[in-house]
Amino acid sequence: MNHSEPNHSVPDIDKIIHACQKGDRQAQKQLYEQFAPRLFATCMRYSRNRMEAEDLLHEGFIKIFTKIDQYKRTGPFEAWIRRLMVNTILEAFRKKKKMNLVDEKNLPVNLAYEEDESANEEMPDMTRVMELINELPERYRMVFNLYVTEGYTHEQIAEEMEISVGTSKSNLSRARQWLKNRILNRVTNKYESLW
Amino acid sequence: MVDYNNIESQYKSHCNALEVTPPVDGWSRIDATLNARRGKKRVLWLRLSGIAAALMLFLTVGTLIWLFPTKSEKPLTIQQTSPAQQNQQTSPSTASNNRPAKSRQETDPGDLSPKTALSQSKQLLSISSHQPPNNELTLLPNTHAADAVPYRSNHLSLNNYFSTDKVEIKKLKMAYPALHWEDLYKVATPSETEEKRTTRFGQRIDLGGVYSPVYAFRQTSGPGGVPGTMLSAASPQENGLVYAGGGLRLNVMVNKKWSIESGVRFARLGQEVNSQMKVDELYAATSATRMANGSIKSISLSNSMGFIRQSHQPANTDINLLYATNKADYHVEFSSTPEVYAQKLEQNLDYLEVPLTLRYYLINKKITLSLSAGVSTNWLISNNVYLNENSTRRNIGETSGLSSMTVSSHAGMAITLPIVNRLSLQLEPRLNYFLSEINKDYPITFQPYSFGLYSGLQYSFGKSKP
Repeated sequence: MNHSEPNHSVPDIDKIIHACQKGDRQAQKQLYEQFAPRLFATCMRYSRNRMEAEDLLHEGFIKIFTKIDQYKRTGPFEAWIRRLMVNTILEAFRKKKKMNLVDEKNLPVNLAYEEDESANEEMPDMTRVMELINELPERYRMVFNLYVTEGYTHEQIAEEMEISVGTSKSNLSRARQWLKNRILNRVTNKYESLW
Repeated sequence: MVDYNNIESQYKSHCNALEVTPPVDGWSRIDATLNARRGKKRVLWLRLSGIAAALMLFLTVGTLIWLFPTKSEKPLTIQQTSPAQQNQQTSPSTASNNRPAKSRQETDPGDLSPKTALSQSKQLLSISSHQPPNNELTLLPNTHAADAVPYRSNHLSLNNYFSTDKVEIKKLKMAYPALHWEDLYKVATPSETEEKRTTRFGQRIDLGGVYSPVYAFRQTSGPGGVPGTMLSAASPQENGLVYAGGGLRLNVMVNKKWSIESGVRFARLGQEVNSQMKVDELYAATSATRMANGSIKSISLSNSMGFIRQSHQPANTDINLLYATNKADYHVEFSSTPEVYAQKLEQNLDYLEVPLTLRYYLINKKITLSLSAGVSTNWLISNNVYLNENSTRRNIGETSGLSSMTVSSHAGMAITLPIVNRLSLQLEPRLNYFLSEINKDYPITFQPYSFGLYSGLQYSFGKSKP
């Protein structure tokens, strides 16, 4: 994984979009090369493994190229394609849910641990935070990411994930509490034994 | 102490800026999927176009029939029996009682056109309901009664606008039941007349030969990529070819405007595949001397039509020659840098086609202009693959897994030009499109199509053209 600033310096994005709307394959390739790294990171965040993320990226780009003529330039293009990609991820989640393939493990109810005097005083490394989030059961990770990174409301999450608003709130609350404890070193190496 | 909320906001901005290198084959997978979808769209477009064309044809034909109704061409013929026949059937005394009295109106023979004859009948009919029969009906004078008096329905008065000729005649018969109508008059109703005309047109049959040079190619769709391609770097380029076909056709007129056509035709379809041949040099040598070489040639046997099955294994004559003498002294070595040459494969499919065509005549005179559409059943009778290498052409096998029978559709427009008497020349540009794929077990849908000029001489039997 590597970090980089958004590439806003690409001068011809409008031309690329216009050409993509006409079905120009070369322009589609340029668009893919420009946005695939960031969208693949999004897919990785919601997936259990890299293979699943690759499938989501593929499906998402097919959807982008199919629907690109619906882009009306009313907002940033990147936000539009990101929304399409997240929708693709949610569709895949709903399909998995219908086929009972979603990881339905629950976090333990009692996560009230004692305050640890040796709690970490430094800001944790983001890579470590991401690793911890990836350890969350799929449903919790999904709710957490949609709420925190995509800015979805609980009502939107409930509708998209076909769960109740209460479940969405509860999942987020538990995920946060668990994460908080793990990040701040209040609980160490106890997580696996709790499943 | 670290603020957890700060961690979340950092996580969000970290995620928004994060990039992960996508899979190496990511774009090629997308490209293949988009190609497959484009192919499917094309097929859908062709099908919709076919339906639209059929609808247009139907609407055009319907409009033509509606604008030029054949009703005005259905004559009602009223024939009067000869005086001799009348005398045989009815004596003068009884005739005066039974036959309607001749009208006192003396009709000028010169005025007795079909129209006046009809109007007289109509007038009589109109008063028949309230006057006794004996004084009402006028017989047409024998001298002026034509053998067949054409009656045109557009001469009907407004009162009888919704009536038909048949109804009018029935009314006459009902008003005068005592009369022996069949004996006195020969009345042919429009339907009977039409039947006669139909029979007359049905008697015309055109029999002819067809020669058809066509350009044939194919429509493909399905998942991208040809399975099992040996030289993946050099994907085969496929082109259409010009072929010749021919056969016999039989066209039977159903009525003036429509005919049904069938026959039997030989049709060749296929494609040309330009790809590459890999040549691995093979050396045999003794420890002292490098001997003459041989080679192993490899070509891709998969393409959009299917997998090519070789009829026999390639003969390794060169290798056999190398080993011809004293094998023990030789060692054999492959060169590590194979050479690549362009080569052409020609995949030919020969079909026996039995078409069933419906033909509508826009013009049906000495020169005819007609639209045709129909379906054909195609039986695969031959399937060959040829390799063209260095101006030599040899049969290397056949395409495997092809359906033995397929269904195709066709549409065209034909013009027929008279030559002498009943012999004429027909020219018809025609499009053929296979409705079903020819290789069902193959992941790529392959539907051939062809476009060509179908020309030939035909001889007309029976009733000649109007």
